[in-house]
Amino acid sequence: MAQEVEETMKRIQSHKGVVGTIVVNAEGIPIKSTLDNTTTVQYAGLISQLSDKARSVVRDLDPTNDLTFLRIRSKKHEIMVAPDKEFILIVIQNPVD
Amino acid sequence: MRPSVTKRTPSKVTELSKELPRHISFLKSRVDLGGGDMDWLRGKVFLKPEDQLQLSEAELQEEIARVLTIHNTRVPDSLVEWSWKLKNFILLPPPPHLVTVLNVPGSLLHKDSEEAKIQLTGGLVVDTPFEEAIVYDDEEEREEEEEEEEEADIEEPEEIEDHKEPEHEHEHEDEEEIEKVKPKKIPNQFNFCERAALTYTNPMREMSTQTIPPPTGIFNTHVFQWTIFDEYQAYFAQQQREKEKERRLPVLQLKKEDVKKKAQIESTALTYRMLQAAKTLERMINQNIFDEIAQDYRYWDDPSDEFKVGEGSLLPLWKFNYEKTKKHDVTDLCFNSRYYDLFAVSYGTMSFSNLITNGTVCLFSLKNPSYPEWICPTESPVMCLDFNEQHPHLLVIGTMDGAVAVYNIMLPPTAPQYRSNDVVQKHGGIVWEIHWAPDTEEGNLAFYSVSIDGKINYWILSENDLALTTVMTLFLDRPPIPGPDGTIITLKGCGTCLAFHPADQNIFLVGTEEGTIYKCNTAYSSVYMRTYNEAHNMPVYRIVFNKFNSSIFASCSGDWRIKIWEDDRMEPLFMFDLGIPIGDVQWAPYSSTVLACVSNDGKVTVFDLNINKYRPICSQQIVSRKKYKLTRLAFNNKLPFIIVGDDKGTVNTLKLSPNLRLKVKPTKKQLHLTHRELEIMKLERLLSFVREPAILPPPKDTRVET
Repeated sequence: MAQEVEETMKRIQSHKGVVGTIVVNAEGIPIKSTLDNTTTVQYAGLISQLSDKARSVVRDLDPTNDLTFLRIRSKKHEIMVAPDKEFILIVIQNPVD
Repeated sequence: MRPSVTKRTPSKVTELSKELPRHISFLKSRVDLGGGDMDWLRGKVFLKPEDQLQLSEAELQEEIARVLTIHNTRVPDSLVEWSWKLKNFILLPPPPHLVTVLNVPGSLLHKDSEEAKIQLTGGLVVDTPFEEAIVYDDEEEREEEEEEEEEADIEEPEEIEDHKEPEHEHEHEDEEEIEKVKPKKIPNQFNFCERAALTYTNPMREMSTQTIPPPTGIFNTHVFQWTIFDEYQAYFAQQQREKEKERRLPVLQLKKEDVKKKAQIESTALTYRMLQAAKTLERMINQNIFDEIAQDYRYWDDPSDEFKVGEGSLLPLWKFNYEKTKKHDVTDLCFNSRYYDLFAVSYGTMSFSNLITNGTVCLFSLKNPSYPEWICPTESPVMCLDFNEQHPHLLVIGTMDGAVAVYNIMLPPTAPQYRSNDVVQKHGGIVWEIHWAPDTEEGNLAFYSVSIDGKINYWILSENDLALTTVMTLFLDRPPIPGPDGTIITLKGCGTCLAFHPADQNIFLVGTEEGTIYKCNTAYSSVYMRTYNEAHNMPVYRIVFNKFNSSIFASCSGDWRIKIWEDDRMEPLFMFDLGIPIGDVQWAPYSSTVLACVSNDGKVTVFDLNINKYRPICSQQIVSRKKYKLTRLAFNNKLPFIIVGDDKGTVNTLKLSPNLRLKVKPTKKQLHLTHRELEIMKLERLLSFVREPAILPPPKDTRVET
């Protein structure tokens, strides 16, 4: 199954407009990335903070609820985040290409 | 006493200076005083007043003797006082010449004195000397004052003394009273030594040490509602665990293997979650890429349809393909009954001259047009498939080599759950169509398959294998022919398609390569209920029952024709000739009169019999006429779109324009009827125009009166 994950990530990277993919572990350290070092660290740090906060918001409104995905639409990009307890998957896509 | 000598000399000088004219001296002394002050600060500069007496050398040398006498020269000689009584000044007695310089009261008492007696009897010692000293101080002050102010002040100290003396007496009286109350023996004052020792006083030393401060860390956090909730949940879970432990007294220790297993399970769960997350992300990316198509898919309806009566169009949406099946033909399509966006595609081959030897089953979701959700490679080209309606996770496939298999699509596509035996249970050729049957009485799942070997098989899924029953063998209605070695062979028809009656699950229709359609019943395995001889001149590719009226069915064939039949009527009700082999025909799920077909020239043709009985309402080129052929077609059950498979492994999605999905508008009287009833009525009305009466009654003779 791990191989399947790898394949999916590879496929994601090959899709149109995808700028980069980052996998962050539970400690907030990027373990896999297709972006350069500085950008990766910046994204990993900021996005993990944001997803923590977003989860807190969702859980605070209803403790039995939980955050599953996060999409941030900006002027230039769309940042898609799949937050989990153990990892965070981040994909940055440029939707208008 | 202050020495008064120095004071006197300047005064004498001033006295002398009085002789000079006063005005001048006054002014000058003023000036000098001002300057003199400053000089004083500077140091010893003797200032000589200008009018100082000039003394000669002899005069300066002259000795002036000074004598100390016991006579106090400062005591006034004759003090007088005004007596109001006598109205005359009276002479006061001269003040004494005594000057007290030092007064130290001793602690010694005379043995015979009153105080000593009191002490001996045990009275308190009262420290009076201090007060006495104050008195003497006062006297001293008084004397000082006497020097400066003279008469008036003298009386006051005397008065003070007078006042004080009675006070002393009072105090003494008080002491005596106390002594009387407590006659207490005091220690001998003279032969008494206090036993106290003075130890060395150690010099003070400041000692301080600084310890290493314990490590500190700053901790801050917020408490949210969910934090509290989680804590409670964890606490509750722990309590439950403890309860269970109590129940199970012999505590089973976790073996190493168990720990390993647990870790493995956790890691697989993590990978699974990661895979799900990655898949969802891929869907999001696809949603962004195909955003316009997704909008059209849901919301765009061709507005020009309003002005085109009886004509519609198809809007191409996504194209689905898989890299590894680009050379395969799409041999079957099936929508899932639970997820309307999920469909299965079987990849095999239709032309038997090419050398494709393997096949694939792919599940696609509209949410991810770029890659299949589930890919299952097979050894033989897959020719047909079907989703189970009640168990939407079960998918049955039939392959070119005659095998059938059942897959559970919730499991990874490694091996089928059920698979027919390669030797015993097998069709003799291509399995052309496969359908799930209703569950058996024991509750087992079952399906039917039709093959080119002329057999219709019934398969039952038992616990771990498939059980096979041959329902029907399609013997041809021809005399047996002699075989090569003298045997006699009864020819069998090659089954190509299968359709079960929607109302009566025992009745089914089979189409053959010879173009014959047989109506059969599962109850009788040797007799045909009806034979539609020469229904088509070429192989029948598909037979489908109408979704609203189960006695109406359509068939398509390689002889370019679509025929619409009614049960028990040997002649078709409708016949459409498209001039090209027709791969597939399907009834629409939303209307009783709409059917769509795909043809080899890459066109999708849609008929609505209610609108036009003779011509299609839409015939649209979907793929290039030269390169591609369309093979299969399927309607979505929920949304107005179709999927069309071609012979290059691509599945096209097409949205039906509003004119292609016209529904019956109920009149005022029909408002209580459901959509289904209305559709049935529509079809029935249409059929009544088309049906030829079975027997034409001859017109009655009428007498013509002349």
